[in-house]
Amino acid sequence: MDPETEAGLVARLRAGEQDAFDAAYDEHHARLFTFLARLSRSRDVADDLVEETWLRLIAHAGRLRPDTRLGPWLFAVARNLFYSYCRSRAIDDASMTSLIGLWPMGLRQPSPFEQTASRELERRVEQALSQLPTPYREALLLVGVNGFTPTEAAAVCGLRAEAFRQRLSRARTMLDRKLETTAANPAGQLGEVTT
Amino acid sequence: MMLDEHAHHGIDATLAVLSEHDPGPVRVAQTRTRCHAALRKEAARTQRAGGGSRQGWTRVLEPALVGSLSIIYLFEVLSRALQLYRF
Repeated sequence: MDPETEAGLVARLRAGEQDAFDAAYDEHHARLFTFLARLSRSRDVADDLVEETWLRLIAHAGRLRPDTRLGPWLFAVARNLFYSYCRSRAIDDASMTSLIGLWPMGLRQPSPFEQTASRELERRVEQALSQLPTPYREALLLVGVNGFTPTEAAAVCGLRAEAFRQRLSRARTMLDRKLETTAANPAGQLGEVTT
Repeated sequence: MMLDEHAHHGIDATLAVLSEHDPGPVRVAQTRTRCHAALRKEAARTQRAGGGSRQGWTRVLEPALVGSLSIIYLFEVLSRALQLYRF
């Protein structure tokens, strides 16, 4: 979304227009949900947190600055809600691995198309990503998947740009190593989920 | 450094294969409905708050008007009394 369109959208959101909310919702909902699903590794948690993110936008819409970048703002709220959720549940990264069975990829029935090479690569990347510690995972998700610049992503994470760049660089190296490991061991560490 | 940059581009290209997860149409519609309800509630709250500020303005204006009229009246009474004493 170009800055002018976004500024117009923010102005209409500040005025409480439902059409503006719908436009923002259509633009960002799936991306926010995917970000939260990959961060939390749980569809249910992602569902709840993404709804709470939108409710926060509604509650704060009147106080948005006219130059607010909606994407980074929403992702920052979603991220903070995720960390609050982890704190409230006293979930750390180690215990989060027990939720891995809830990883969205595991819930889908394999289709013939999923047997193709591209799906196989996607599955491997999802697996490797899910095994990274949360701060590194979110750095890759923000920049590599959602297309934020490192400066925007640093603002989302509440970090200085240089600190974020270091984290991102380390995250890329870690993911690269994980992918090499999963390539060497194609079965991976995640078992098939049967529900 | 060049090698690092090349590797980073490779990882970013790898991440680009990831597709968006489908939040599910039912849940998307439910969330939208709840948000619309919240929007209406927020609009009503803002309207009430706006009405409250007008009352606040009236609360400020009324005493100021009454006070200034009282001062004018007192000034008039005093000036009339002084005129009486002079004669």
